[in-house]
Amino acid sequence: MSDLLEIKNVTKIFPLGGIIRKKYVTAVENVSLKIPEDKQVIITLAGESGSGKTTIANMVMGFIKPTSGEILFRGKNIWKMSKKERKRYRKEVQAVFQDPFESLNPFYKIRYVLMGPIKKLKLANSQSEADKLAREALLDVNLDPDEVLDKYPHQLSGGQRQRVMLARVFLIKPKLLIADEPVSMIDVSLRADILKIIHNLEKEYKMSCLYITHDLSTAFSISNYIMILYLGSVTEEGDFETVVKDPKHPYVRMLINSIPLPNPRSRWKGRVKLQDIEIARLEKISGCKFHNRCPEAMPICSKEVPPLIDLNEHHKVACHLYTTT
Amino acid sequence: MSPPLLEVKNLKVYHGTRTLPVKAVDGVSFTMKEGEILGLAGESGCGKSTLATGLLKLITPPTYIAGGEVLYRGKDLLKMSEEELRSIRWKHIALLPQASMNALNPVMKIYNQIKDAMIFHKVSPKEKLENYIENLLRSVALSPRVADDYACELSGGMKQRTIIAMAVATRPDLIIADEPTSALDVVVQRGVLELLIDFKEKINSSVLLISHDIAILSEVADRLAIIYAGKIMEIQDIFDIFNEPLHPYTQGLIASVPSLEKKRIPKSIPGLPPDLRNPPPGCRFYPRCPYVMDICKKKEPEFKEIEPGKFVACHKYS
Repeated sequence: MSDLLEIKNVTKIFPLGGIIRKKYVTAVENVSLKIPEDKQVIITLAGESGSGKTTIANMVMGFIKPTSGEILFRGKNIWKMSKKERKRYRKEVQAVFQDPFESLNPFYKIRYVLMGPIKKLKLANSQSEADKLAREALLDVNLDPDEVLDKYPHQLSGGQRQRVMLARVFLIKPKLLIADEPVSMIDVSLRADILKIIHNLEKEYKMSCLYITHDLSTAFSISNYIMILYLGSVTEEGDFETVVKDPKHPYVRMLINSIPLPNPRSRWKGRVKLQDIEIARLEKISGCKFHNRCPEAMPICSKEVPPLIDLNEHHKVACHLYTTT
Repeated sequence: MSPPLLEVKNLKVYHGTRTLPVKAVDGVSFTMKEGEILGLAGESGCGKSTLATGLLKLITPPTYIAGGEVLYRGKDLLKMSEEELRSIRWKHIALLPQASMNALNPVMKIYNQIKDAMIFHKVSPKEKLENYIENLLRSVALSPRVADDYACELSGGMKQRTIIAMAVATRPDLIIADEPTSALDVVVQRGVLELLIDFKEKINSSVLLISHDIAILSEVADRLAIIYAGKIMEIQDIFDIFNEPLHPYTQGLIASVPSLEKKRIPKSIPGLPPDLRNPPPGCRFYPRCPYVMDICKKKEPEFKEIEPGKFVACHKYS
């Protein structure tokens, strides 16, 4: 049985200005990921800024075309779909973005936002049925339909706006939700509501989710599987709890040790070493991309790209420390 | 007994509007000791940044000081002339503004920017100025060649470290850091915070560290103040406040933070912060409070010390 979505050895290279000598930035390099059809999962795609996580989201949504590799939806390359298949793909894969104000048109009331997909995808046969669907969707995200339907986006708070976006997703009932930093603009005290809604997707709506974030603590609360990117390459992936408790890649170790825990009893130990990492970003790094910052770098690290190897069934790492034994 | 480093008494900073003023900071009182890191946490729109700028009177209309005192070593900053204030700002109390990435002058080299501040405040280091600035940059893990760069040539983390270097160049007694790491990646965030702390130790100053992220504050702060809707709700030692948060808002805030230590979906605080033009009567948190009593809707709880070092504004404790 084919997977719901398969990202297969995808690479994206962006050209940068330069008239005489063109420069290139490799945003994503050889990333593969599978989302199964028969099981609902929330997969976290994590990384710092510039790690290529949003580029992957944009490729999955079909906004940009991979330089090489394929994105397969139920075994079919999304760039080789017929118009009809593509429309179906749009229905089955939906997205929620970081800034809910930017994704809502300020001139239209919330009613219009929800009616759009109902009409376009012909979800209802009559006006009253459409109205009922919209109301149900808003109730699903704990919004009062009478209060919200006739308001403009600016009359809602950030948390409410993001919930409207999720209500739209519930209307369409896709198979897969791409959530790109859905809570990072929302106040801490209100974030939990959004997280709970995303968490319930899995159970109540049989929906999977690709959760893209830089915030591992939030992702950890709802997701069971994580893939960590560094400058476009996968460093480590696996069961979330295993990766957090026993990180293998030196970069992931450094990352996890730098995440603040809301507990004054377990404070940071020692000091991290800061380097001017951003300078290195434009240069092509040979071998392992982390080798020039890695405390455990070996001669091989600057020469060969480490393959992603299985440590066990639920844990993979791309590091030469684990290839030579 | 010498007066404390900083004593804020009933400070009110309002934003004037055509109708009612927005009471962004409404009667805030706290004291800062020598050499401590006081964390100030709160949600967006609760008055954190207004408080930071209000302390140094770095406000422009329609924002105005509606009352209170800010005593720096016993002298009221709010009563000083602009001239006197200028001699205190930066030299004695430095502010790391929010989005300090944009605080650097884009058309001036970093070296000249640091030099300007030092000459204005008549700071004369023992060594040559070039060497002093070079060492300053080194101490924030920047290469000395940054001195010859313009702000646009630096990354976010590098700009942030430059700002820290500038803030500590005059060796202030007090650093007010308003969200110093909010736009940085976690590893850089940790590095920048650690630098700030190391510097604080080195020049023996105090830090008022403002952040929306209590996890960050729990890593570095000695005491924690919680601000909600323009009022301080609680101040306690950092260990005590995480052990036994007193105010229901603090309890809610701590429960709303996810942690890598334990897998659980955090709890949110129902409702929304109030409109500060027209805050609810009585306790400002009562519409969202799970323990609300009749008195909470009528009478505003007094902010007081219920046990040594434990300050709270809640009727549960009176």
